[in-house]
Amino acid sequence: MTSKLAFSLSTRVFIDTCWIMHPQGPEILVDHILPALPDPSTQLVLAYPVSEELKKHMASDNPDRATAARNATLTLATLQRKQLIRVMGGSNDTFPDNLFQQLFAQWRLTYNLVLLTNDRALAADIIALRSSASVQNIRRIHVYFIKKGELMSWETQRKHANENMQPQDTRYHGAEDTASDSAERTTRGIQPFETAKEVTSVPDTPIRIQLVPKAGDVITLAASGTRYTLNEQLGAGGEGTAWKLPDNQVAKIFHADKMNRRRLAKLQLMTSNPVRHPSICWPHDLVKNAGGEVVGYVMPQAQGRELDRSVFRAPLMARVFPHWNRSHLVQVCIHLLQAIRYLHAHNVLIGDINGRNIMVDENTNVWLVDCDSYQVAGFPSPVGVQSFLAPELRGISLGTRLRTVESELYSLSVLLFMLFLPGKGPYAYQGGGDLASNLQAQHFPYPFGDTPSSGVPVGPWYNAWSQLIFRAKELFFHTFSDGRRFPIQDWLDMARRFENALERGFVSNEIFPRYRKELSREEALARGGRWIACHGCGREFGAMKSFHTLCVRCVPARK
Amino acid sequence: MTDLALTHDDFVSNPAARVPVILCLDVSSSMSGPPIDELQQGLMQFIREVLADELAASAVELSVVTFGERVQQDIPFGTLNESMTLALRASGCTPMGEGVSLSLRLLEERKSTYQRMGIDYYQPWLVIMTDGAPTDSIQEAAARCRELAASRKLAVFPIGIGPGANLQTLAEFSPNRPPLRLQGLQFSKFFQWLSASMSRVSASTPGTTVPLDVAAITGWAQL
Repeated sequence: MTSKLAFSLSTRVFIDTCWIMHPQGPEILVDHILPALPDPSTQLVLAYPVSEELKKHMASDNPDRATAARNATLTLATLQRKQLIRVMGGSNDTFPDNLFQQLFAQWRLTYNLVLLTNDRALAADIIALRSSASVQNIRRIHVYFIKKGELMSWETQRKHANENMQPQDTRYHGAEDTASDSAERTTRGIQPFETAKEVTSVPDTPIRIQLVPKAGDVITLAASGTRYTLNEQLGAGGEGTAWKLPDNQVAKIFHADKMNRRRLAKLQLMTSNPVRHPSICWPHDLVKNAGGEVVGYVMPQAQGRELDRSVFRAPLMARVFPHWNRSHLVQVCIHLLQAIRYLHAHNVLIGDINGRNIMVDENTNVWLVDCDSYQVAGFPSPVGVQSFLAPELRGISLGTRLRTVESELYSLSVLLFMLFLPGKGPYAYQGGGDLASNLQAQHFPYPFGDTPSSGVPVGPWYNAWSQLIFRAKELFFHTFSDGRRFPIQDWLDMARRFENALERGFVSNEIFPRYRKELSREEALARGGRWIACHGCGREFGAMKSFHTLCVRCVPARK
Repeated sequence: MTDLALTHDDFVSNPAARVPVILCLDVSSSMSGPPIDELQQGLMQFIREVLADELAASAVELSVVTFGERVQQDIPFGTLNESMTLALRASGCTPMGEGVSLSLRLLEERKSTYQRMGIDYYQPWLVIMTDGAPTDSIQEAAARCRELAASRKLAVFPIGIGPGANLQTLAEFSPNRPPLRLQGLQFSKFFQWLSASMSRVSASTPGTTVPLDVAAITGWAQL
C-alpha cells in the first residue's frame, strides 16, 4: 500500500485529531507509522488536547463522528498501554492547532518533526516553519495526510501539484524512506526471550573449528543461505577476526579454539530471534565455512568511536567532536537509554556495560557492539569491567551467575555519570586511594541536598556536577551514596528534563562549565542567603555567607 | 607561570585513571658503550609506542631514575610527549639500594598527589634494570618493595641485563615475580612488551587484576 517509511531516532511524530479520526487513521498509524519508528514510546506523541477533543467527539450526536472518535481512542489507549506512545501536555494547554505551532517552533532546531494532519490550513502553517528569516539550522519538518488509504506528504503536494493544496494521489517518497521490506517484517516478528532462573546446563566444552575461513574463502549464512567471499578484514582480537560484508554487515569469525558448545547454543538462540534496532549490532545469522561448520556470525556494522576513545578522554573528545556541548551528551544519553530499554523489553541484559562496547558518532548516534556477550535466557554475560560492576557482583565468577536488571541499572548509572562528567568515575575523590580501593570504599564526594561535598576531585568536576539538573544529581546521589537503583524510564525522563533545561538556559550548555550553577533569588532567600549586587560586576546574586561579596563569575577560580 | 597553570589544568581535567610507572636504571660504568646506547634507544621506542596508543598516552605517567655516579630523577612524573629527550651517561658504581629507595619515595609522592587531586590510579609499576650487583645496601629498599608488592600496592619487575647481572639480589625486590634476564641486549623487545602491557592496563578500566602477558616475555628472556 503506502511506500515504506523509516524515521531516524531524532524524529518526533505528532498526531492531530482529524487525522486519527480518519477511517484509515488508526490502521495507518499501527501498520505504517509505528514500524517506521525505532523507539515509538519516545517518538510518537499524543498531545493531551487531542485526547480531549476525541472525548468531545465521542459524545457527538453524529454517529459517524462518535464511532470514528471511539475507534481512534481505542487504538491510542492500546498503544499507551503497550507504552508505544507518549501522552504529553495537560489541561493548561491551548487547543491543538496552536499547540502544534508552538511545539514545532520550539523544537524545530532539536528534532526532525512530523505532523499527521488532514487539516490543510494547519499543514501550511507548520510547513511555513521550515524556513524562518531569523532562525538557521532548522531540521526536517514533514506533514502527512491520508488520501484514499494512502499516507501522503503535503509538502510534495505543494511542490508538484496545484496551488490550493488539494490532496492528490502522489505517493510519498521521502528522504528518510530507507527501511527495507524485510527489515520491517523481521522487526515485527521479534519476540522477547524467555527469562531463566538458572544458568544454562549447556557446558562450555570446546568445539575445535577445523577450517577457519581466511581472506578469499567463501562463507555461507546459515539461515538466509547467502554466500560471501571474505575480502576486507576489519580487525583481529583475542577471540577472532572481523570482516566487512556488503550491506553494512560484519562477519565475526572465531579463532579455531574459541568455539564451544555453550557459545554455539547461545548464538543459535540469539540468531533465531534476531533483534533489529538501529543502535544494536545484534548477531542476526550464523556463519558457516565450506565444510558446514559454524565458525562465527554476522551483525550490522557499527560506526563512530568507542566512548573510551572519545567522550571518556577529554583531550580526545575535544579533537574528535570539537563542536559538542552538553546537549550532545544528553542526546547520547537518550539514544543509549532507548536502545537499552528496547533490549530490556526483550528480556536481554547487556551485562558487561563499559566504555569500549558502546560507540558514538558526531551526530550522537549510538551503537551497542559485542552483543554476543549479552545475557540472554540462561546464557550469562561472562565478562565484566570492575569499575562498572555492581557491588553485589564483585568478586564472583560472572559466568556462573545470572545478572539482574538491578545490577544492570548500577552499571548504567556509572556509565551515565562518566558521560556527564566526561570520563570521571563516581568514586574518585580527594583523599582516596588507588582505583580498586576507591571502588571498595564507595565514597561519593559530590554534594546533594543537605549533604555537603566531601573531596570532590580537583579540576572541572565540581562545576560539571553543579550544572547538572537537580533530578540528575538526585538519581546519581541516591545510586552512589544510598545504593538505590532507578529504572530506565526515570533516567529517560531525567534526560528529557535536562534537554528542556538546556534549551531554556537553566543550566550551562558547556561540557566543562566555567562557573558553578548560581541559585535563583527564591532559592537563595529560601536557604537563608541575601540577594545583593556583586562588588565585582554589579550583577545581583545570592550571597550565602555574610562575607560573600562576589558572584561566581568574579570569584577567582577554585584551586 | 602561565605554562605551569596550563599543565595543572591538563593534569586535573584528564579523567583517565593513571598508570604510574617508574624505571629505575643502572647507569654504572659497566653499562657504558652499546648497553647504555641500546637502553636509551629502547626507552625512546617505549615513549613512541605509548604515544601511538591514544588510551595509553593519556593514562601512562612515566618517571626515570638512574643510579651510577649519582642517584637522580632524570624524568619527573607526567604523561609522555613527543619532545621528551633523555641523555643517559654511564659512570660510577652501582648504588641500587639508593636508586630503588628514591624511586619508592617518588612513587609515594606521586600517589599522594593523585590522592590530593582526587585522581584515580592503578597499582604503580617499578622496573629495576641492572647489569651487575649493588655496591650499597639494598636491605631496606628490598624489604619495602616486598611489603608493597605483597599488599598489591606495587608491581615490581626486576630485569637483569646480560650474564653479569646478579639475579639473586634482584629477587629480593620481588616476592611474586622472579627476575628476568635479558638475552643479549634485547631492550627493544622488553620495551615493546612494556608498552603493550601499559596499553592493556590503561585500556582495561577495571580496578584490580590486569592479565599480564608474561608468556610473551619468556620467549626472549631466561630465568
